[in-house]
Amino acid sequence: MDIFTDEKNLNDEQLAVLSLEDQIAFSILVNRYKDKIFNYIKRISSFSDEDVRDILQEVFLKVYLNLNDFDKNLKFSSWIYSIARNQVISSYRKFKVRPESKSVVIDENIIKKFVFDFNIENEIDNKLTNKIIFDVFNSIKPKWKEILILKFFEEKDYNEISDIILKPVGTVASMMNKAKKEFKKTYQEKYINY
Amino acid sequence: MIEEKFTEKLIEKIKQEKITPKPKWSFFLKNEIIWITGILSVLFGAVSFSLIVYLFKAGQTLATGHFGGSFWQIFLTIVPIFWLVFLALFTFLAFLNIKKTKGAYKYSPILIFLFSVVASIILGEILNMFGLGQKFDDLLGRRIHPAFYKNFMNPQIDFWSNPEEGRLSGLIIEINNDDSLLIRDIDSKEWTIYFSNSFFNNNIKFKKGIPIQCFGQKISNTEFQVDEIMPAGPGREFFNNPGIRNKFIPNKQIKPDFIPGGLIK
Repeated sequence: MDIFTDEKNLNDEQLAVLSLEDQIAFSILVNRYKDKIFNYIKRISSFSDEDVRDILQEVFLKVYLNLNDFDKNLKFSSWIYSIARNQVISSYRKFKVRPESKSVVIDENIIKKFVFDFNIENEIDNKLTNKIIFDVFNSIKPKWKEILILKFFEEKDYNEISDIILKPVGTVASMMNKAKKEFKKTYQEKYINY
Repeated sequence: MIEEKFTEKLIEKIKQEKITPKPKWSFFLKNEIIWITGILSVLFGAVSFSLIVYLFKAGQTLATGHFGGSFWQIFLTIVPIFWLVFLALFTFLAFLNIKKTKGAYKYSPILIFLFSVVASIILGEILNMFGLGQKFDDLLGRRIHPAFYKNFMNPQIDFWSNPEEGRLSGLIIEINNDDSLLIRDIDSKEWTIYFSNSFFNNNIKFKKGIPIQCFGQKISNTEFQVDEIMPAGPGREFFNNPGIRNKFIPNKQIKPDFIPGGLIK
């Protein structure tokens, strides 16, 4: 087994520590997260693919620059999502545009879980597509949209969401309730009699 | 999907631009600065609170019928708004700094705010238990510009400098006999005060150079009949402030001069 294969077996946190000395370790981390973070940025923003790529590059450069600030008590994934989120916010400030989600292909199982969790199976008659979901997302407040995306599409638990959006777990739980209510209400207003 | 070459390009950019992770010490320093600023803010808040408690306790005599002002006049004379603002400001700074520390986001901002307030109050009370509230006031009275101290930090100075309304304070410059003293007030004016049949508060010992304050009635432009006499409280070191002392005693300094068997009642 060569060094590269050995490193591939390490977890994210171990790779993050190793990346300080070894760019191969960092490239493994980049490969693990580039698609996830690319999709996350697309889901929470309205930037073009090209802009998202630039933002993604900025995210990984910030990760690299701040490796020594990584708190080993946190999950690496929470840390990189948090950096990505902050980078999107800075880009919005820079371009002064409103966040608006792009419809991106979502795994069918995630859609099913989302529909089940919202208890809207009977209402939609299988019409709840990616497009509809993101249309509703774009009609609700960005803070509600963001938390729903983290929970249902990025599949983060409350503790991870707390580490990403930097709010207490209790606040995350309460925001989640409000976000679900807001989503369902908006969905019903827009599509229930559709 | 992001193309495979993304990683390669990124690593190339890192190499070409010689980008290296920021050193550990820079994050350590940043965190330490946040913590130190937070702790200092709590300490300044605590000092403000110890002064508020000291001024409040010492100012209780004002609220016992000697002063006919409204509640807010009495309150703001006892506890000047300056220290309340100072306390609020540093408590808020402590809150902002604690909120910026790593992991603080796990706690509710309300909880962090309450912690900042309670920390300043408890620490302030502890400082006051060790008499530091008084010591801070002494230091400020001595060192701060007289006009600023009198107008913002301790309105009790003005309260005790109103013979028309029966309140007088000053530094003892001469002990005449068993029932009168010569004092100088903060405007450098000399008063002979008579204290036969007076109430002596706090086991007062008369010595040259110590500040006293009294309730009573003005008899003439240079004489005052005392009802109640006590050692000066907050602002007692104001008389040692160079700005006051120089105007006050141009040619000589009054030094405390213990008189054995002084007038203790």
